[in-house]
Amino acid sequence: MGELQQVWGWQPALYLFLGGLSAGAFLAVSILRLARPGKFYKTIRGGVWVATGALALGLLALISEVEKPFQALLLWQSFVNGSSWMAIGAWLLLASFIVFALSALLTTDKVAEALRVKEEARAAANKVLAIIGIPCSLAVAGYTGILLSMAPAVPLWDTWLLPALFTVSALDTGVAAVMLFAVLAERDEGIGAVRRAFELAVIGLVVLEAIVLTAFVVSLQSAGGAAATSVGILTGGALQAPFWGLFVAVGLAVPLVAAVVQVVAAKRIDNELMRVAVPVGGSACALVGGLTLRFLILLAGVHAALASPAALQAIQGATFLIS
Amino acid sequence: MSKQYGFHMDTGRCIKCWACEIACKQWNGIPAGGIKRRTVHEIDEGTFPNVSRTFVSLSCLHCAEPACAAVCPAGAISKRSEDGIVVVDKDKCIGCHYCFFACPFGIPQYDENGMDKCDCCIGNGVTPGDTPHCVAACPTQALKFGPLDELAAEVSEQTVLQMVTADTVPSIVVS
Amino acid sequence: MSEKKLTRRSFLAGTAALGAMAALAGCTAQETLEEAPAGQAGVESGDAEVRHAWCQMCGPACTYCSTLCYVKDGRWVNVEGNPEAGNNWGVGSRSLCGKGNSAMQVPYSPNRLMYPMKRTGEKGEGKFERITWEQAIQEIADKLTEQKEQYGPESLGVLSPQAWAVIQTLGRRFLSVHGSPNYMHSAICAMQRAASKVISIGKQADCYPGQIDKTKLLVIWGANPENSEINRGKPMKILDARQAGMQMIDIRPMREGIGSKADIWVPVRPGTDLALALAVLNVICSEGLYDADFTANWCNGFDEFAAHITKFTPEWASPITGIPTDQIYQIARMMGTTKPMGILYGNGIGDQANDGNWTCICICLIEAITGNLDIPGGGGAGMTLPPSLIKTNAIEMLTDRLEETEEDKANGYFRGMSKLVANEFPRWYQNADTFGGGPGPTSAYYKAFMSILTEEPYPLRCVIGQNSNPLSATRQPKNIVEALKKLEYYVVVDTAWNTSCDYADIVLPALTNYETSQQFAIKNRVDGTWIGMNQVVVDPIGEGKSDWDFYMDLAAAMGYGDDFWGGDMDECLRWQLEPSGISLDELREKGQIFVERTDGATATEPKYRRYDTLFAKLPNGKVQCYNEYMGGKLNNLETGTLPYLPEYQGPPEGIAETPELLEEYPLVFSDVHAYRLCNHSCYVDVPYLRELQPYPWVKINPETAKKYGIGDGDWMKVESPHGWVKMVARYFDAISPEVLMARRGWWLPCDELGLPGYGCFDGGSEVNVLYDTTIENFDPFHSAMAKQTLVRISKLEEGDGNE
Repeated sequence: MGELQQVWGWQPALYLFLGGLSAGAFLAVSILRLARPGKFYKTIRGGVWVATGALALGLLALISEVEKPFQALLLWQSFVNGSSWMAIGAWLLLASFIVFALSALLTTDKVAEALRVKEEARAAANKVLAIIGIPCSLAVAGYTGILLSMAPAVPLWDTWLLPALFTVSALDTGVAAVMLFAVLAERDEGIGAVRRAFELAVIGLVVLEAIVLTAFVVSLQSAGGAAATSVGILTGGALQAPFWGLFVAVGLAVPLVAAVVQVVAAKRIDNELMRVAVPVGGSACALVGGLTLRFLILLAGVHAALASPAALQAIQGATFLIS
Repeated sequence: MSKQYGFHMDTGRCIKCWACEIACKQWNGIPAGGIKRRTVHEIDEGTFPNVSRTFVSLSCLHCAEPACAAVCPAGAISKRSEDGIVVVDKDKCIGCHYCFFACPFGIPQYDENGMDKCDCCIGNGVTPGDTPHCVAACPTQALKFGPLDELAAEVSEQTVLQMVTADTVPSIVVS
Repeated sequence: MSEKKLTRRSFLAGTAALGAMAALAGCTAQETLEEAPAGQAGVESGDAEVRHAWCQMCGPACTYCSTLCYVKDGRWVNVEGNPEAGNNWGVGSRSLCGKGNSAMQVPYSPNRLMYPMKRTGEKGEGKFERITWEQAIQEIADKLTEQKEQYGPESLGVLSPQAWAVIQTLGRRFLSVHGSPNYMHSAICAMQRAASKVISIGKQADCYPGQIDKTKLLVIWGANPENSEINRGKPMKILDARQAGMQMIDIRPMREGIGSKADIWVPVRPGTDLALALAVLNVICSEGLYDADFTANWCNGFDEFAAHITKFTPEWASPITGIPTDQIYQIARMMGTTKPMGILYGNGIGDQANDGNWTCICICLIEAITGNLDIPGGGGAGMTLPPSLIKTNAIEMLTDRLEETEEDKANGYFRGMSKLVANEFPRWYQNADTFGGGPGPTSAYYKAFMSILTEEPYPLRCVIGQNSNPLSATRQPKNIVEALKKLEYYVVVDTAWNTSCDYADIVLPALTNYETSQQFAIKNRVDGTWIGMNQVVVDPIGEGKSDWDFYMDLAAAMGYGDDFWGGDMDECLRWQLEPSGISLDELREKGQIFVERTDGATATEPKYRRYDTLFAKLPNGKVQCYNEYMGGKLNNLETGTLPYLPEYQGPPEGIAETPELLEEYPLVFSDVHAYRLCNHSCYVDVPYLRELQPYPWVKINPETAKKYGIGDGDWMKVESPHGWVKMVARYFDAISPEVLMARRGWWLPCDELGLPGYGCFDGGSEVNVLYDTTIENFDPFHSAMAKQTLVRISKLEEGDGNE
């Protein structure tokens, strides 16, 4: 195994992370908004703007990666092939961005006032956007992984477990981002229960992510060949330090511990550390882990034909026998 | 489609002289130091002194079901009905690199105009179906080109194989 | 002309000082033009023009492959083999090797010299001034006239690198008329092998099958056809025969292109081929595998030879060659029992080992005593073509103008032999009979340079180097540069500034043969005879003239015009074409003419086993198993006599030969001479070729490399008892863990790819600094020099840093 995958570099990695983060954040605050309408303004406003900003930045990163970015911006001529997940994704992201942006604008008091939107219309619109936003978010979260898994020539990505992993990670990082607002900005008294709910969600999501990750690694290892070699880069090869150190330890273990500590000890210990440092630390680590995951999955996504000379002989069932 | 054209790569005759790679670059106006449409690969087995070296010259395999065309968001890649040659319209291509990740053989390469790959020399003036320059240049006649069924028939007596994949069905005979 | 410091860069193509001329060649070799149909389609649509030219990529003034060159908007853009000429497999072939496909980049190299120069500073300082061609020629002529007077005409030597037409015709002729025999032949040449064959099985016999389609076993031994002659037919025919069932044995240190198709690969240790050949002969003799009839009737001293050979057993040869005993028996038995059998042996063992003469003689004897000479599918015996329908005159060498001295007469030497400064062959050997293919009396390139230092028998006073860089072409650049420093007058004619130019007095820019129309050649075939002439493909770049015109102008300035068509190359061409009835103008205009054969004659099978003719010039009219052709006669240094029977010598430094060196220098080192991405050290600046192998490499077995902590692609230091170089390691499984093989000649930079030229001395990348150059060790018959040594290696920590 020679080099790591370099065709898709840091821009797509950033896009995958930001896209997932945006979807997770919007999903988290949409659920919150529908469950508790009219409350937790700061948290929800933070979440929808994170979703909008992250998606915008992510799309910018993505566009900057292609050879002809200005041509790519002309969506109606550059994303027209219905059988291409990249084309489907482009429109999906456009639609989601409109939903997220509208929601952000209408959520923000100052903007809504400037636009002279009536209170009832505003509440109704926000509710509708939240309802539409949930499937949009799930679609965006899953799409980032589906895009990769629909590229048939990379053994590391050729599994439904990759979109599953990215979706869980998207939710995980989204909740982590929203948590930051809940901890640092929210004035509403009832935020305590919300925080607890989020911490339980984090525990659930991290555990789920660990399970999906394990299934991902094990299934690729047992597939043998180029798939095993690729996943081996992560678990025992050139990328093992960031994989175990940044993604697993910092990105999964630390947030899990922070969340458990919160849930178990929040009622008993009430100091600055417990109230702010632990949750913020946990969220930050989750975000670092999510970003790292995208980078690692891209770098280790070595093309089957390049993974090894023998790979030229066994690609997706291709039998290339030379006498 | 009228007839699928493709290459016959006779590894028993390829001596890794790189004439095909350079002929392709020269005729398609591709400068040195960048991309290339055709690559001579080497497959080695064994350790000294029991070493075998096999050389395989490959370019785009003009698959029956090209994965690249399926994933291109701009619909820039198409398979010609007259001869089955897969071509990319550089005007439509945005250079997103997705086709590289779809092609089982990692064929697509990129420059500032978008994706670039073998087009059987149609782009430099060869009549579609006529001999591409790599084939004409090969000093040992290790490369042949023509309707795939005719090429396959020619080699059926030797120990041969066709490259078969479940998904893309490359149009090539390798012996 | 004012004196100014001209660095190598400032007079090359790219400088503003050249004004308009910079526009021509100031662009790189990589400029691409607008999209428009290319090739024939382009010609049809009016976008392109097509011209005929002989490919130059095997060597300048080569006439092997006829090519069609396509020109668009005044720039040469594409090239392909000419289907009408019958290249490679015949009419219709448009094939061309990798080098041929890159030819269009050659004339536009930024390294092109643009105008003549004269040195103004000290040798090595690099201070030159620009002068005109006429001035340069006049000055050279004046100097030669002066030296002829003062020292005698033999004080002039002309460098002969790879055999090429200009030197072999006009160059030789000039030397003859001037009165010097000193054609400084490389001694690294097929000519050495040819001579070994002359003295053992005769000039007309051959070991290579003339009808390979009938051959059952082909042995490739120290030959490199997939590098040296890809499009000249042999690889194609070998592969055809192999696919039809012919067996192949490949005896080479690396398993290369065609060798990868062989049934058996024999990874012989470089420089030990004589031991292997002796062992093969041993088995053939001791097991009675020889052709009894042939050896009884057509071998001189076979019994003595067979008795002598008994000591060279495979058991003896195995530790020397690194080949397992079993494999030696196996291949010997195959060679002894498979008939028809042919042997393709090459320069690697013939002229680059200091026992190359006996190695090649032994190989010829293997072919001979197994009864494979001149039988269908065996050595020689090719189909006979009907005669050429186009007759031309060949430029004569005029060696009869050389002075026949008293010494020549007394010894029965060919005229001029006694005056050679460093005779390549024993003086008794070269004559009109034995020259064949070789250009008259020759001195050995390296030895002749050393005469400048030793002044024995006398020093050369002027050397003309045309298309040869002595700091790369021969051994030990460190010694050559001393000779250049001491040499009175050094003239260089080249397309690029080569690393010896700093020591030149005059540097003249040469045009490539793509810029002139001064050469034609003929291909005779069954259906007729075809003649092709170079047409001008690229308008002449700079103020240079062609290699042909250099000699014409110099001859005229020396007053030799009467022997040189008045100094007019066109007149010379007309003279050459005269018997053909084709005018120069017509041939230039058309580029190629085909004369059809109408009498129905075809290729015919030759008479076989014509042994009385083939061996007629050999002592007793027989194959020299006991060699009385050279036995008992003086060697080329005249320090002793040559033997009648072979003894093993081996390289000056080797695992079995100098075991005392192994502790310090444990690995064997050698280099490939011909390569498919360069022509010796030419074309290393061609972008399409350089990008495939950008750095000076050495192939190393991964096991060995890992022992020294050297990774694939790491720079490493390679040091022999004589010098050291830096090369990039390339992991390669198909080479013995004891052996390293490199490629030589990396002094040209490639600006388009941002790659430097590498130096020719210690710390550079010229492998010739590594080899022994003790003159007494050179082959005593034909002066071949060993290109094998022992080395130690280490990872180079400082990284690339140029010399």
